[in-house]
Formats: sequence, structure tokens, C-alpha cells
Amino acid sequence: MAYDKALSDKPVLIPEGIFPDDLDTTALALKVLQPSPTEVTSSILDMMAEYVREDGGFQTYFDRSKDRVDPIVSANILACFYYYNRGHELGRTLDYVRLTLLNRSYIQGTRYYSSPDCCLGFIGRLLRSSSDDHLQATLGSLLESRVRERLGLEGSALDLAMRIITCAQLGVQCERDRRALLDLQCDDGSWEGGWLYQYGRSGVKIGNRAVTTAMAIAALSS
Amino acid sequence: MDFLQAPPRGLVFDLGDVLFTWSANTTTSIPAQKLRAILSTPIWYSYERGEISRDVCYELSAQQFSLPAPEIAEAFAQARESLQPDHAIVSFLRELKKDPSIHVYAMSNIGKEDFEEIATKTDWEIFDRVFTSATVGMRKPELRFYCHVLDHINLAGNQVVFIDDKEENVSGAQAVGIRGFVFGKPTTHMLHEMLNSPAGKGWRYLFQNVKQCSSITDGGIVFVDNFAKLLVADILKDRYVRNFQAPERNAG
Repeated sequence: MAYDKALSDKPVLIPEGIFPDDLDTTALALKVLQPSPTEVTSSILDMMAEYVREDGGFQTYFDRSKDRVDPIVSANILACFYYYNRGHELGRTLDYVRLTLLNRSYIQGTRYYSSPDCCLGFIGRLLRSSSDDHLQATLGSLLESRVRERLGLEGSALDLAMRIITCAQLGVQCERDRRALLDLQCDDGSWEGGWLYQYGRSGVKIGNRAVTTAMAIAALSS
Repeated sequence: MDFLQAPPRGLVFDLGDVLFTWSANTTTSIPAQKLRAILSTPIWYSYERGEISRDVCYELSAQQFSLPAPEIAEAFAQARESLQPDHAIVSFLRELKKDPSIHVYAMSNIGKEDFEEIATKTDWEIFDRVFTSATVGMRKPELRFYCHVLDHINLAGNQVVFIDDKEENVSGAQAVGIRGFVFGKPTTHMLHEMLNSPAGKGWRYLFQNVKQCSSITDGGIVFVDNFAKLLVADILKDRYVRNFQAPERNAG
């Protein structure tokens, strides 16, 4: 069962080396919490790198008996590696993400991320993690053409916010989506959750109002 | 996208010429310009810091400007009479008072006796706390005064917006990292934009609710979600501890 993202309220990452069982959360925690000393980060990145497959996709769990691979989870892990200037070690993963874009294999969602706009949003986040030329050249224009295909489509506040953020970073105009997002703001200033991710086997969908609101703030500030 | 500025958690206002307007034109023999000059001497500053009483201040000023002390006292009494609160700002602040995530403070260069007199003219309820130069023994633009205020309201400089009519006081605030603005016609509009724009309202929702940051399943189960918490921090490029901590609310 994939309940690892919900590790109660304990610190996700502490110097003793306790970390969540999934690589997606671990990669995010590494980037946000920036543990010190840097050797801690290096050793966790080293450990994560052991879970990449031949085709570049990452195992989602620190458990080789579970073969769960998701291109967006892989993109998120890659973003963490690029953030720490180690993206070049994972050329095959970059290619794996590129193929996902090329083949539009996100269009019905992925195993853990059900919304195409969220998928593109996380790939956009990967592009923002580093100014690396090879990363930008590999994904930049391809992502731009894919996000253009989403312009004006219906979506939840989260879908719209992630679409707008991606558009803004690539210089794509999206006024209609911005207006749609503004229309969805609640009286208390928040935006309704929308589905952020889902559990693989059960398909249980997870939403979070604070995440959607934060995405909307970032979108409207872009 | 690279620059996400959260609205302030604390607003610090000057009183004279911001929250209050007043006139230096009196029926006494002292012209307005001279009255303002009396306000800008080391003698007056000493009174503002609470080092001397108002009577002593008038006496010393009388000597320096070769004026009768009672005339000076009368002129300033009339000036205090002319004080008018700026209703637009006061009603804006009163509205803001409903939001527990944003606090409003006053920070004023003002002598003890003057403050006691104007205290009867003001709705102090709009302020979470008032800092006067006379009470703390420091005056703007001394940097230590700003640091004193930041320490007591428990906020970092970039979480605070400071409004004052004097350029030098604003520069002082900026020197300690406070977002300082010279008061003018656009001030209320600017604050309104910061706090009530769609993004501003979104931030204020997060200020009040991000602590829980619970996720919910499509089956309605609510749970603590580390991934979501981290993602919010990542999106807004802010550390929780810093930007989402609640400032202390202190009375008077």
C-alpha cells in the first residue's frame, strides 16, 4: 500500500537518516529542507540513484520487490538531482521523461498522477530546477508544444494553476485559463482542492486545498 | 515566478501626518514654518525620547528661538487641537482587524505628554500595539528603534510593511530589511492590492490554515500529508517556520 506520503506528522527527514519510503517525497524533502551537512544530501542522492532502472524510470519505493514506476515521479526525482547539480548522472531518466512528453503518455494521467495538467506542471518544475543547457534543450520546446495543447481546456483549479505556471515559465499566453482560475477562487481566498495524486493500486484520489491555493498564488503571481 | 512576495504579516504606521493630519497654522505670533522648525531640534528630539518633560522642552525651545514659552505652548496646543484622523486609512485598518493573521502597529516619534493628549482622540483598538519614542527612549530613524519593534512583534523585516511620511524614517526601516514606503495618495491602494488581490487573499488563507494542510481522499478521509506540506513550501519558496508562524499578539 502506498501510504508513505502520509507519514503522520513526524519530521520527514532528520540527520539520523530517517526518510519516507517513497522516492517522490524524499526527493521533494531533500530540495525543500536542504539538510546539512551536504554529505547527508549526497548520500541520500546516492541511495536514490540505486533505484533507477535500465530504461531510466525510477522505482517509486525503496523496495525492490515493488516494481512501481511512474514518469512523473521519475521527473520529480530528476528535478532533485538537477537541483543539486547531479542531473547529468541520469541521462536515461531525462530521456524517459522526454519520451513521456513525445508520446503524450501522460494524457490519461500516469500511475500516481491522474491529471495531464499536473503531469506537465511537474515536468515544468523539473525545467525550473536547473538552468542546465542540456535539460532545457531536451524538454523546453517539447513541453511548450504540449502545454499549448491544453490551453482553454476545462480543469480543476489545480489543473488550471499548474497549466498557467507552466505556460508562464515558457512564455505562453494563457489569459483565458487565468480568468477561469480567478473565477474559481472561494470567498475565503482559497481554491478548491482538485486531485493532486492517487494511490496506484486502489486508485484512491488525494486532494489538498493548501497545495491548490499555493499553486494558484504562484500562477497569478507569474 | 521567480519572485513570490507574500503580503506583510505586520503593518507599522507612523501617526503624525499619516494616521493624523494636523495644521501648523495657529492664531499665535509663531508662523507655521517656525513651528515646524521647533519640531526639528535636538531639544525636541530629547523630549520625544522621554528625556525631558514637555514644559522643559518649551522652555529650552523658547530660549533657542527667542520666543515666549507660553506662546510656544499655546501654538502647540492649537496644533494638537487641529489633529484629524485620516478616515480612509482608519476604516481600512478597522477592516483589516478582522483578519487574525495580520497585525497592525503604530510607531511614532512623540513626547509623553503629547501622546497622552492625543490618546483621547484615537481609536487605539485598531492597533495591536503602539510603540512611542517616549516610552522606548529611542526615535526614528535610529535603527535600534526599528530593531526594538521587530523584536517585540516577533516578525522578520521582510514580513513587515512600514509607512511613514518622512523619507529618512522610511530609509531607516529599509536599512533593517523592512519593506518601507513613503506615505502618499497611493498608499491605501497599494496596501489594498497587497492584501486583497486574488493572490493576496490566497496568501492570507494560507497564513491562517496552512498549519493543518491536511489532504483529503475522494472517499472523504482526512490525513496529514507530508508530501503536500513540502510541496506548498516548494511552490512558495518559503520555509514554514518563517512565513507561516503566527506573530504574537500583545495588548497595548
